[in-house]
Amino acid sequence: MSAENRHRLLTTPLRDIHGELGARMIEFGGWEMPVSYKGILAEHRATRERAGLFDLSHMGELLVGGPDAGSFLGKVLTRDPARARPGTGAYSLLLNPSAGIIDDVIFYNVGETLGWLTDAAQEATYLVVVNAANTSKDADWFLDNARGYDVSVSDGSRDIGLIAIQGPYAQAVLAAVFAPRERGADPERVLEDLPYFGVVRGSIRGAECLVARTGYTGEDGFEVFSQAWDAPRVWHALMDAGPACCPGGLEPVGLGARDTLRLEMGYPLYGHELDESTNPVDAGLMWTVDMKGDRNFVGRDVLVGVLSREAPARRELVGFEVSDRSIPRQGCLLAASHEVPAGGRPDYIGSVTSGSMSPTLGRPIGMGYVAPRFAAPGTQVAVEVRGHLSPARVVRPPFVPSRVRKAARRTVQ
Amino acid sequence: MPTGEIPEGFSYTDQHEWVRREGTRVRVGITHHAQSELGDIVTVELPKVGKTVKKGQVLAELDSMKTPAEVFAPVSGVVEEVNSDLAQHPELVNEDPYGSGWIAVLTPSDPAEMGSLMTAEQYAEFLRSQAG
Repeated sequence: MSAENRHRLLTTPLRDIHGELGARMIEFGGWEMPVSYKGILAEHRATRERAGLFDLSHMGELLVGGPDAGSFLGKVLTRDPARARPGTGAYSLLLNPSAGIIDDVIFYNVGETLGWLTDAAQEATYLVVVNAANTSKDADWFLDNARGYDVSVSDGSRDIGLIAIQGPYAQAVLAAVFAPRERGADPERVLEDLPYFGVVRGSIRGAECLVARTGYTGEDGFEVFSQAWDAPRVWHALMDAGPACCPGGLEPVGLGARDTLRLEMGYPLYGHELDESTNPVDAGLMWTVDMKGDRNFVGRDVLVGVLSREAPARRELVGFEVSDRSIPRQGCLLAASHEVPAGGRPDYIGSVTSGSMSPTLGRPIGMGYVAPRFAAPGTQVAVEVRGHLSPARVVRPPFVPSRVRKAARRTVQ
Repeated sequence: MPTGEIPEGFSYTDQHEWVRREGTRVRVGITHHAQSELGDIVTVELPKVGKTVKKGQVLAELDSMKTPAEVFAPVSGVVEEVNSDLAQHPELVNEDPYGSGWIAVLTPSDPAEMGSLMTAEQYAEFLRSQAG
């Protein structure tokens, strides 16, 4: 990469820290981001065994507020925002009118205004976290759809820092530095009581922040939103607290391990499992779609048509494990069998969307779309890597047990 | 055992392979720079003993966590030995690229080809020019 190009990339407030840590930097979605520090394997294992620290400040944050905020979001989200009580959020999709996936997002009904986080969000009570590469696309989509609604929509991405802490010791480390806003509250208890997708206000070493119990790793963990210029302070506070709370301390983790961690969980990644030609039925994401009632979200009509069609679906997203050491990558073809009749061609049934060596399993794993008759878990298939067919087996993710905080049982209302 | 990132006494290619003369044979691997760029190496597909390779042809195939990669034959010749330790311990290529992370031993078929390889100093200069 030439020096000139390097200057055109966006950098996060933690760029200097990554440099000091000797991070290997790459270009990702227009940003200069750390792909690894000590190495993908070490960082992946540290997150599963102890706790990892992630710079996610490149992600986009859209702020929504005003009297029609709920009904506006009800139009663009597949998830019904009315089901997210104040102080909670959910994973959702944004669909285009053809039911193609514009982005996958997490939205939070924070329940109070977010003007402290960014000046542009004086009225905003909803925070929508979007993929870095889709930020301006999603912001434009929100603004286009906001016409006719009494709603404020702003893009706070450049003003907001985001750091994730994930792993079995994540709560212990965070509790050591987190001061809940509620005076006298015990940080250990506040964090212990915070439900999955819950958010809570507080501060870390004097930096105001919003803490969400979410993540992209399958471990218990939190994502910490702060003003961008406070992000280094939050990072250092957590790193400094690490050794006392967690054997071996906190490990900085880059995008390389972030990808292998999510892949072990079978979580989709936009641009791999998801794009605008993919609908939630294909992607196995109908659980993010609230069809109840007459909420007319964008893409609903086409989705109803897809669901009611009697013809079989075109394709289905599956996970698979490879029997030898061949590592599948995006674009590799999937076939019905690793054996090909003499003089014949493989019976191709689909293609790989993501693949890697699984550090936890020590075996190559992947995800991909296949013809639905090959989608049942246990089906023997094959993946073509470097011109060679390797046997593989369809697996229903997660490949590794999930350890996210289970949703608290709701009392009958 | 040679130490350091570009040991003396080895020859180098612009594809980041190293070559060490051992009598009538040569031992081949990838350089410290190469393994560092690749990151954690997780699979190594070795050539078959007895295979004839031409200079510049694919000798072995690696996968790191980030990417697939190819090791090219630095000289033409016949594969005499391969490092079977790498099947169970691909990380040896990262940990000890000039020692226990070696990839193959060849009997070169064209002695003149050794002359077109780089010295340690030339490879160091080559890396500096690439970093620009």
